Amino acid sequence: MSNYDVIIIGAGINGLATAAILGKAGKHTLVLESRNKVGGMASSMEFAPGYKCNVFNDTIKWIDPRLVKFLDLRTKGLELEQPEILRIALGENSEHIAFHKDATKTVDSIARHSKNDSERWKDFSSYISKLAHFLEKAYELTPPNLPNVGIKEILRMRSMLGPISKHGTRGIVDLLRVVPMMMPELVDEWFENELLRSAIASSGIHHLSFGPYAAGTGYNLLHQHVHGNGIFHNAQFVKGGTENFAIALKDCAESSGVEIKTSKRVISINTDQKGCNGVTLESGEQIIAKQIVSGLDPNNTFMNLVGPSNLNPDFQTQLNNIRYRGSTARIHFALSNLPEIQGISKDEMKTVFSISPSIKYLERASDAVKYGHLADKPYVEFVLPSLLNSDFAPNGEHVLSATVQYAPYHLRNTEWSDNLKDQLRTNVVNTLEKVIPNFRSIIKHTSIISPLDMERQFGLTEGNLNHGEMTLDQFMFMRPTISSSQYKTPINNLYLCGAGTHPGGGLHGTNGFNAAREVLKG
Amino acid sequence: MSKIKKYDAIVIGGGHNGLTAAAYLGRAGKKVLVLERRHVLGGAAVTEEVFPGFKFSVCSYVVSLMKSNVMRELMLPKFGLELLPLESTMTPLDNDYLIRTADSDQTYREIARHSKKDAENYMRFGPAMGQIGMAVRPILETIAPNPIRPSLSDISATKKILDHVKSLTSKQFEYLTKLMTMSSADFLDEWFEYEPLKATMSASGIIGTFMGPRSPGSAYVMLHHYMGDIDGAYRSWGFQRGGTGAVSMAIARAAEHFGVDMMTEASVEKVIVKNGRAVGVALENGDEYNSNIVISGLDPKLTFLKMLDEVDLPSDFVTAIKNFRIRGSSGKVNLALDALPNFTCLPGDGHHLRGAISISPSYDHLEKAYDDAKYGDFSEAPFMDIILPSVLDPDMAPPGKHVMSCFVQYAPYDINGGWNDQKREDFGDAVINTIARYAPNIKDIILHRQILTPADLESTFGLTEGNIFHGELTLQQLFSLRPAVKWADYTTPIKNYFQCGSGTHPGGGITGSPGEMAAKKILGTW
Repeated sequence: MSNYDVIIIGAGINGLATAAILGKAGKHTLVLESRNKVGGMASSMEFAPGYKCNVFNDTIKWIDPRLVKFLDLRTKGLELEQPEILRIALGENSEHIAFHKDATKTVDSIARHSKNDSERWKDFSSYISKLAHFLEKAYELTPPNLPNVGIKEILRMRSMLGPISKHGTRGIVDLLRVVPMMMPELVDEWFENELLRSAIASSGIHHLSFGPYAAGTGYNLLHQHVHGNGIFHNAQFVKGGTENFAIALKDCAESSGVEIKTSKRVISINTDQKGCNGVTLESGEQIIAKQIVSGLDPNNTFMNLVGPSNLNPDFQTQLNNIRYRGSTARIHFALSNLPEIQGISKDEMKTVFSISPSIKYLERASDAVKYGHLADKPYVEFVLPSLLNSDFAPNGEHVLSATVQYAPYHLRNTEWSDNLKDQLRTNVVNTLEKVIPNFRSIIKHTSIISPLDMERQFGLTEGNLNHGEMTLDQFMFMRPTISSSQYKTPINNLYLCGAGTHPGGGLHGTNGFNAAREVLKG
Repeated sequence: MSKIKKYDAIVIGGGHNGLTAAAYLGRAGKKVLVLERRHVLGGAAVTEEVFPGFKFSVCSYVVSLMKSNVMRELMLPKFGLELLPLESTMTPLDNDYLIRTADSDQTYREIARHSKKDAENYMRFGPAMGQIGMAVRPILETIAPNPIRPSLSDISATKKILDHVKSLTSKQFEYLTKLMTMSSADFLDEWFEYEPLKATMSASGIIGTFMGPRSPGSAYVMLHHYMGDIDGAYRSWGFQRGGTGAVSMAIARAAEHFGVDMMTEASVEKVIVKNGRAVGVALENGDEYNSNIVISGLDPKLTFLKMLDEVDLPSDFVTAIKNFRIRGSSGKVNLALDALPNFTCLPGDGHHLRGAISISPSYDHLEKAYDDAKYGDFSEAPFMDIILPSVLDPDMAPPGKHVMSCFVQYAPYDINGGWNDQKREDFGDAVINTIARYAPNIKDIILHRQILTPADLESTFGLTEGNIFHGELTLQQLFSLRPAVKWADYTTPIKNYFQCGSGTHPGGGITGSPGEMAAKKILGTW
């Protein structure tokens, strides 16, 4: 039985990214995945005979450019496709705004609703891109161990000098203003048209349990626009499905000698006085390694695998206080025909649609989380992945995958059940029928993934897609906790590389890249 | 007829910060004139006999945040400052109550009656928050540096703050970060389990704020209210004998003692600007007064957009002030009572009437109240912070009668259909009905009622949109960004024109702090 330098738990994007980098650096690395295939949040699945879907994410907002370069991913089978139209925001009375790759075309689309707003659009998108530039650099860092910052930490943060010298201290001030904002505060400063305002606000609530009236949604909006190349609502599709990103990383890792084993569930991270030394699998098998890296969320890593008895009480308190509070559900529909959306041609449908007629609509949907029930009129984002991947549905048929907010994990006076899922489906179908009039009649199959399903099937605590809420109190040096924000943990030789670390969720691999750097430091 | 007389400084607005600034300048030997639009000094810290024999702290109703060095330096106790401690906070519930008093053993027992764990944690919570209050203090007492083009003193102020932050323990820093960013409900959930306790504590995170307890950002407002400092004791609230107007009067007497002139019913129309410098003010009645400097105690919207012409200001600054958020969210209902209210949960007289009565049975109660306002209506069942000043200070009402002050949330300034007389009465009814749920005799003992909507707060007290803090206490409107970057150190783009109101660092409440720090800044550059 060979001893490994490093064991990585979880073959999601970050686990695979860490593995590929460590493999390339010559570490004898083993990746253990509990499911029967790699991919985690990037997974695809056949949800009904002949119909495939991207389980969670139809698009990728950004991939860490350092990762792409270091692993040379472009030549390893990763093909990204950026559609001409990135998003279409659907309003009432079949009006819509199209956000194009080409900002000039976006301006034209906005001008049909408001001349004033169209004139401000380019300034706004470069303003957001300027602020995101600061985050891009901050995301490359291992967060400092605050408040004890010494000269070494300051020197390590010198990459921040780039954006500072480019945008001046005025840039920092703008960043400090926008990050804590709530969405209405941001859009009030720029725009008047409600459909445009809510289309912007929808970016700030992406995968959050809060609504647009929550302070700090400014930060979540900027997070979606990191490495956005100045394009608002930037998004890319992975050719062949989102899972191909994971497969490209897997190929990379394996080509440098990393072993990846699926259907291997780790049930404990084993520790002794010196720290952790290996893992035990469900089968009872024990595997020893010098370093362990967990791509799971902090709750699973520490509470379930390390075990509370091996954690000091202060750290336990911090872990218990991490907020997960998943509030997003996914629904996949198998359709007999391509849906018809008024005013949108088939070619234009290779995009992300959002249904958010007003900011108040979004906020009302979010109120459901506070009171622990489903949103009657949810915020729905949807994609037709079968238009991009012909093998996702039988010829002439299609798949519509919807992301639904808000469907809270924490419910009151009820629990997740088939009945509740039926209610969720009804709410979503009603919402979709406003823009796709005959929608109900073309549905052949439905697959609903509730936050509870996400927890049970994908190991996401409370069904949170980001391994912890993307809020300012869980940002950078606070992610996942103030004492474990440098990818290193209070347990010797145990590292974190998942979305629960800086800089949070999304299929970008930055957490994995940064974590690998810390693992290599030893 | 314009009188020609030249002052060293003119202060626009006789609110407590304006008076504080004037008193400090007077104390330094400057000849100062305070001009107040209303017939009475005090601004939002004012006592008025609204109904014959019944005196009310019409607007601001409790004092806790008054800085001790201001009290000392201006000798305020000598001029009539006398704070009577509020003895308790009581939350009436449908079949029970929660009471916290100044006696910590009693508080422990009362909380333990509902949750033993909470009682234990409560004893640790106070000191922990006190420590955070202390940790924030040096930041509040620093003149906010200008990050855009920092001067040497800005750099040294920044360095001092960074050094201070580095001196915090990891735990203090963690709490501070959480308090700056979280919702008050999420923060309190980490400590407590008993809902009425959590809801009542979270309520200080929503006062004066257009947020609910579950809104991120409300924890900071809660911290702001935890920095209360009466005689150096943290987290203590008091009632001023004679109403909060008596605080203003004490400061006014101090100012008078230092030779400050004060005029009421002197409404300033404009600041006179010549060659980019403020040289005096013009009153609505046509009078003009000249001075070396002019200081505005008004909120930023009035200070810049009303008192000046936009053309005199840099356009990015005008944009920043227009973007300054100042949404009003609260109303005030003042009741003249024939007798004491009788609470079903705690009948008769007692400690509970000598403190604050908080209508905050649950987070949901507060959130639903917020939801109403968020979508453009006043709360059907509002949150209230109620005190009965006449119980502590019998001079506030005729013998045997009482005054009741109800601070009410939420009442949005931008209400659907706009505020009118009918809506004001409906709002008053919602308030009375909500009280009646806990004290059913209320309807029978009301002799008079005064209802102030945010629109009334604006028209009567000059609080733009009825915001009691002269601008929301959100992270992006604090410190070097309050009210706008580059101009958070009490100076303005107009030479010799300064600001000293709650719209400047460190923000609202009866603190005297903006007034004091503005005066010190002015004297430092004079």
